[in-house]
Amino acid sequence: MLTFLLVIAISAAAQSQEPKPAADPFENAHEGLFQQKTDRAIEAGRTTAAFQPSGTVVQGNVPRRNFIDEQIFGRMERDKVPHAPLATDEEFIRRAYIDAAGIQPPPEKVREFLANKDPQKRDKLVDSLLGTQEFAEQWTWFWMDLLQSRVESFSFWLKTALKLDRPWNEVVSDIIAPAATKSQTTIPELGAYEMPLYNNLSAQTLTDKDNYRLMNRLDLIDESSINISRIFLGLNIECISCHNGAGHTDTVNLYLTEKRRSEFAAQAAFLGKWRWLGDGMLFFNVFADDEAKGYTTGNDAPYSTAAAARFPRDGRTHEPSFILTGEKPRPGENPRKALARILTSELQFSRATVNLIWARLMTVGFVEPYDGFDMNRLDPNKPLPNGWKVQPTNPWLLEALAKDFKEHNYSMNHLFKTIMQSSAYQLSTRFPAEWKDQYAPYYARRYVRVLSGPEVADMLAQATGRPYNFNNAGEPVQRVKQTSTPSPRGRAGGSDPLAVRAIMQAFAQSTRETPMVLANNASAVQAMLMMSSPAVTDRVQAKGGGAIAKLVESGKSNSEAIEELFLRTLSRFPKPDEAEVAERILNEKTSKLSYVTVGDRIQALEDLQWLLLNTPEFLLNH
Amino acid sequence: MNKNLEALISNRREMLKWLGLTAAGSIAVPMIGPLRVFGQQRKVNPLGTARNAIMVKLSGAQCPVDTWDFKETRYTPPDLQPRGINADLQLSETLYPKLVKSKVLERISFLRSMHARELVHFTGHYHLHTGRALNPGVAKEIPDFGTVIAAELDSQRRDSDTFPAYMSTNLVRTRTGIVGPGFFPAKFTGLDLDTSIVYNVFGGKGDADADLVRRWERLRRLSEVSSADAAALGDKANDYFAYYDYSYRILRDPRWAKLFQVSDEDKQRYGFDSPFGQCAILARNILKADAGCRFVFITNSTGGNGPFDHHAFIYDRTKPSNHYIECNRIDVGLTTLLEDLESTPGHAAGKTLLDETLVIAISEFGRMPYLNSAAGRDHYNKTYTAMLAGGGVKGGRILGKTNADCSECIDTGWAHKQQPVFDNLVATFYSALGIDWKKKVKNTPSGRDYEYIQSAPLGESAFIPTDPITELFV
Repeated sequence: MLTFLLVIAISAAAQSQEPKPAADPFENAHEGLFQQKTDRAIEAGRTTAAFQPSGTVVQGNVPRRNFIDEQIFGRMERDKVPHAPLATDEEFIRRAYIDAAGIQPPPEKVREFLANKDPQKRDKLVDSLLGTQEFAEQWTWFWMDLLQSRVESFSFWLKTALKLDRPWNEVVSDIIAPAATKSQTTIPELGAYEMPLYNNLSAQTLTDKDNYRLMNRLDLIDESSINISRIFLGLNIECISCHNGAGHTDTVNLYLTEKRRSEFAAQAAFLGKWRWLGDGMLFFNVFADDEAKGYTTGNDAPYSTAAAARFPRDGRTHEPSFILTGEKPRPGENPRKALARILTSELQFSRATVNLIWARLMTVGFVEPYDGFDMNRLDPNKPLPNGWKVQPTNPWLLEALAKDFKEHNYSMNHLFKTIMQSSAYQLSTRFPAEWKDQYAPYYARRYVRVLSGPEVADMLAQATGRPYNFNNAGEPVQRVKQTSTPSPRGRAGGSDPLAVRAIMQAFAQSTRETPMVLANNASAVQAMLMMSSPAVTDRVQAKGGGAIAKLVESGKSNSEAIEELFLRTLSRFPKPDEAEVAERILNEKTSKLSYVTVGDRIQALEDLQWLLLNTPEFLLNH
Repeated sequence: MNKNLEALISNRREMLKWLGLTAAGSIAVPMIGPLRVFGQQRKVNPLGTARNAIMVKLSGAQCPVDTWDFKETRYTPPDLQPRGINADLQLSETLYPKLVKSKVLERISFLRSMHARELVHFTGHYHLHTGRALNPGVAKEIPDFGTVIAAELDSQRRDSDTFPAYMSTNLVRTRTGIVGPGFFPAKFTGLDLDTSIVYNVFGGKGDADADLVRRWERLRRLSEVSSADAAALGDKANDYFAYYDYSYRILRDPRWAKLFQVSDEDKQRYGFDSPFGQCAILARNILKADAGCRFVFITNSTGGNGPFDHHAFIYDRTKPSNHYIECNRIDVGLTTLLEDLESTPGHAAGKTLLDETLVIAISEFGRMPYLNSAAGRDHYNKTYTAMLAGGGVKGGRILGKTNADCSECIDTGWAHKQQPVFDNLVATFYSALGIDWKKKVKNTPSGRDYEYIQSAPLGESAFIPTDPITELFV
């Protein structure tokens, strides 16, 4: 049935159409593989091109350090795609710190790194960042966003796992099959189920552990199964939790189109014996065990399990069967443990995991979005129906990276090292030629990434030398990422937590009540807050006792102060003409604008830090 | 605008070009190419009776049986003083003292047959922010419905407009937080004002303004040399900076500072000590300013599930929060807002601002017809009530009917057998604003069509009607 009458372009008048690729024999030859419209990659490429206009760039030698580089640069060489040079040391140290640890390098570290002549210094820098407290906090925050949890004990548990570089398959096995008999606060892994638990209660009143009326058990199981599959397998099976794929996902996902709702039920049945009970306020005293009958959709009494958030179920009892392979639990095996074992052994688990980390470190994942894998479109050698293209930006590298992760015992440290020590990761944003959309899937340059909410918040506090005073399980902490919630609570009064929360939300920090978006968008709200939020304007004040106060007290000269502020805020030395403008600002007594009154040097220093915090260079990870 | 100030801000042509660039190109667009929006084959006639709209979210879930669908039951506290307004409507004078006496009552209509899909606050709030039930599978790309309104009304923006078309208050403090523009271009993102901050920061502190102006001028000087990395600066000026220019324009518009200047009399009339009062004043000021904002979303929420969430001691006056207190806050803020809109002239001759502004007030769901063991009321989603006024709504109508204790709907009040859900109120917003609510967008990131009003929310084996509540307009 024809359903369209009208096409309305909702965009400003100066909209440009997508560029038509030039007739190029190499492009045509690889039409099937590399001309796919990877939206996020193209968007990232254009964003970066806007931020960093191309100019004369000295190409220099880009060594191939590992199999990542072989894949990335090999493809580019074959397809005659130009690529960026390596990033400068200044660019690299800031980027590595932010990506790995979510903070800026302290000024003395920047000076040291830039002066260091050791040819291994970049490798050593990466090594020194992995497994630190800040690394654990940055990446725990990431997994807590993904798993939509604010449970403090879970956040502590994850931080420990990351600091110890615990094999990731073991961590995920524990999350899928926690030894669940006690409350969320003592069995941390139960924190991964905070949202499904909340969404499937009928109310939050006092109840007792024999009162099952308020818990929608099968919906809870379904939602938990969906989360496990989305996050650890990259498969969004939410669609088939309501209906068969055929007739629904035909234009979206070839694999899901073959799947039936009964296969979703069989996947969910791995959690079928799980039941959650309440005692007291449900979130603080939950009890879970494996005493339910199973995934019995006809009559799941005594639980209240009519499908509340999806179409009514089919009334049958479903036995566990793994969605990718059909594998079943062994005789007598606890089905949740079976799922943990089966899932983490699958190569898809490794693919989904490396894809997530790659997407954060390289701004664009092999597969976007992270839970949108189409299993039928991963193999570049497999013929596809008309109109469909292979899905990953680089299917060979995705496969190699996944296997490498598995072979190295699922070590996160090894994965990070492999990526961050490659030349591919270390390319500059500067590009030696005119950028074209078709270069996007090649990772031919570093893509800029808008900082995440907690990164902005923590770097703001760090640059101004004015740490926070937040409450984390009774302990005072100074960085947002040291807490377990995107709505941090302050210890002293004041509007700091609210102001920080507003900034974080403007930078796409979710409340963790909805699935995480890896957003990469600027917005006017971000600009307004960075210009005028008290979280920023209070922090640059000299009277606050932070970096500006110390600069004033220290009696440093103008040029020393300017250098210090650039190092603190942008992790680099000022360029000569920047230093000149800054010097003039510090010295001026009047403004040429009649309605502007100029204060003293202290005010000028405050302004200078405000300026630097409001540049794209600060707000972007480049 | 001050001539000198114009020197600081790039000239209008360049500004439009930059805004055009940011919408179309590099730094902002979550999608490639223009949105492919399709109208459906069946013709719809949006009412087009409203220029503006206000959405009032009563967070926590107000209890209908004691408030807007008043029924005397054995659980009704004895001190509610119900007043008969007309044959069909009683209102408690204890809970809504200002409203029962206000002239603006004759502009208001109630829809008593609402039902909700959700039973918990987060999903309920999400539904009110986005106009649809939560589907985690595609939640990442779903916009709040204010974004859709901003996108649709974008072509009507005038050169003098600086405010974003969609603004909100205190949504940052709700459980849902800012849902954001989803896959829509980021330029349509709503601007949320946190009332605990904005009055202090922007409310007439002359110093703050001078600081901003001085710093802006210095920022421009620095950025001229910072971004001059290559000869190719010219056109490829820093797109990111366009956002700064856009935001700076808002901050420096004299109408902006005025938003936060509140007379003592107004503070008293609106109940400024409560966040809801602070929000209601902003809604009035924003629309009065007529600076480009056409849709305002306000809430009484200050965090958590919402002030109305009285699972215990709902009518215990010794508790710091109870229905008396929360209803009184809404009463004062909302009634005064409606009265002020009514006494402000609108755009067209002979019209008031209330004539041109559709106001809808609603909770995420209702509360139980009976009290629980903690002398409170739990969530109930089978029936609850919405309030509508202005923007073409014929006042004094009561649509829909419930039984003696509000537990069942006995008359849906409109053309369909199914009870209306919040999606139909969003359709009503769209229709009143002249927006074709049957549109859908095809090139979303997931590939799944985004229908402005979904025809089949999750869980319902029948399909909900996607119509607006036109019955209140004719």
